[in-house]
Amino acid sequence: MSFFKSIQAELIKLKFPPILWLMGFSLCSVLGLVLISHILDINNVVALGKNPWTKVWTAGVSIFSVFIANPFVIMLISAAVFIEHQSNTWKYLYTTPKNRSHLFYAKLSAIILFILGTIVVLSLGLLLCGYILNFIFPETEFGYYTPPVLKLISKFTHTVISLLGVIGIHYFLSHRFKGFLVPASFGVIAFIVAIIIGALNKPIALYYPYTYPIVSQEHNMFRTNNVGIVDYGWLNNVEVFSIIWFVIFIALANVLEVKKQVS
Amino acid sequence: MNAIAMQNISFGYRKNELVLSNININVPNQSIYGFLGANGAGKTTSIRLILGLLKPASGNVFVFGEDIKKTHPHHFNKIGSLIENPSLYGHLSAEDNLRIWSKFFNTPKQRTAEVLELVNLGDAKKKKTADFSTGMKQRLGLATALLHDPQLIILDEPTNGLDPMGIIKLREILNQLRSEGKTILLSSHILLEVEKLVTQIGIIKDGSIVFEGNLQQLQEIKQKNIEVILKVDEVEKAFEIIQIQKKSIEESIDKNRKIKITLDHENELPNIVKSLVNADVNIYEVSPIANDLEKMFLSITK
Repeated sequence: MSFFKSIQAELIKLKFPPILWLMGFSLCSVLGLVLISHILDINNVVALGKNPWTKVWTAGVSIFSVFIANPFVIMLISAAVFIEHQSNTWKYLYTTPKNRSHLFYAKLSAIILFILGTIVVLSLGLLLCGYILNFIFPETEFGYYTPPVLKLISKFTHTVISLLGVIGIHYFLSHRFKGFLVPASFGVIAFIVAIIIGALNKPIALYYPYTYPIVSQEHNMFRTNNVGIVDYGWLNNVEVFSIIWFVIFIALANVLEVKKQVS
Repeated sequence: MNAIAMQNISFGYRKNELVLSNININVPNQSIYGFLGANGAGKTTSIRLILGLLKPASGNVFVFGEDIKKTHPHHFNKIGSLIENPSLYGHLSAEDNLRIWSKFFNTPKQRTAEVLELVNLGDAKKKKTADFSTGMKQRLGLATALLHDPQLIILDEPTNGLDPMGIIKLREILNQLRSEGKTILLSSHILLEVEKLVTQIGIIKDGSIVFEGNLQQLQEIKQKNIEVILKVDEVEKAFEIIQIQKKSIEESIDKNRKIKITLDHENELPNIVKSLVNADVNIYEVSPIANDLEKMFLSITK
């Protein structure tokens, strides 16, 4: 209950205009691209006997995972932690009757909830895209087929797992550097490098967490046959590595935060 | 029992560079403790140590008799603090700012409205705090410190940015809190404010406590080393007579026929006046220079 209230407090703080703009921009970008690409290529959407929702899902998840997820998470985390640096509120936060680990994980949970919330809104947006396409082009038959919601949930779950490494690294960096620019700039450069590495189709992608959202699923944008992706049941090795990066960086950031002198 | 006891605390931001050296502070329960010191003397560092924001190189801090290392962070249920300038989430309203802290302190919903009214910010509760004046921010900072109705309130320079009305209101609030049995540690450089409020005083200089005691003890010090201005008709003669009594004469203003002398104790004054009268020196004025807290503070920290 206490942890739940702390998460609520952290979510109130996220009513930060740059964060809301970031969310709006990310959603509009993905949904706009999905809608426009389908309108321009409507003949390929209409395929007899095939569920048109699958194509919309794949497009939405791919655009999000490859182009938006990394910058969104990098900016979100940098801004969310920067709120405390900017407001100089660590001294108050650390004089509440909650231990530092509690506060550390409450903020992290709020950030992850915010990411999940954004993905839920994105999913609803993709659903809306389908019905808009059905309204403009009734021959697409979006209304005839049932949207495979579980498939969408599964795809986005893989995206979120593949993002965990980046989340861990940026949560760590945002706590270590007091400004917004350092973690955000580092993240942007790391993302550009990730696109390059993703395009190389080589095993180096396995060791670079920023490429994980790009290569962990088949997005039909990069060839990944030489990366060395191995499936372990429902997860693949890229997603397992992502979890490992997350655990290492979050544990390290937590230890340093607990020991921090607040001057 | 003391509300706060700092025992042999030493602290340095760097190794071998102590900013606090073996300090002891005792804040009695239900007192208003004025914590004085020049800028950079170590007031805020001491407060951060009490709050556990900094870890001492040596020594212990006790709050209500319990070692804070053992009670951390639960003892913060009993402590409200305002450290230096209030830190607020500028993008949020006053109400949202308090809502955040009420979640961490688990206070009832109506408490937010109560403390906003207490600091006269009820009408501005929906306003973004980034648009607040310095005084309003200070009052909201105070509201945050009082939100969970703490037993011990630590206020670091709380009058910063307050207008005279705000200072009067703050004094009323602090007196009210004291009458409710709260303990208040008040650090301020506006010494006049401290003198009007406090029951105990601690003075820190260069990281060491140079005075700690109650107002009565302070009054005793005030009676010593007092300065008096005498206006006489024959300055040189008066000089000689006073020098015989081995009193230091720091200054003579011939034009106004005034002499400033320093006495070890106020009891010496009648004898000096008597000697001057006996020597036919006419005295027009005897004015003790008010030995207020500010003067005392300056002399102690000099």
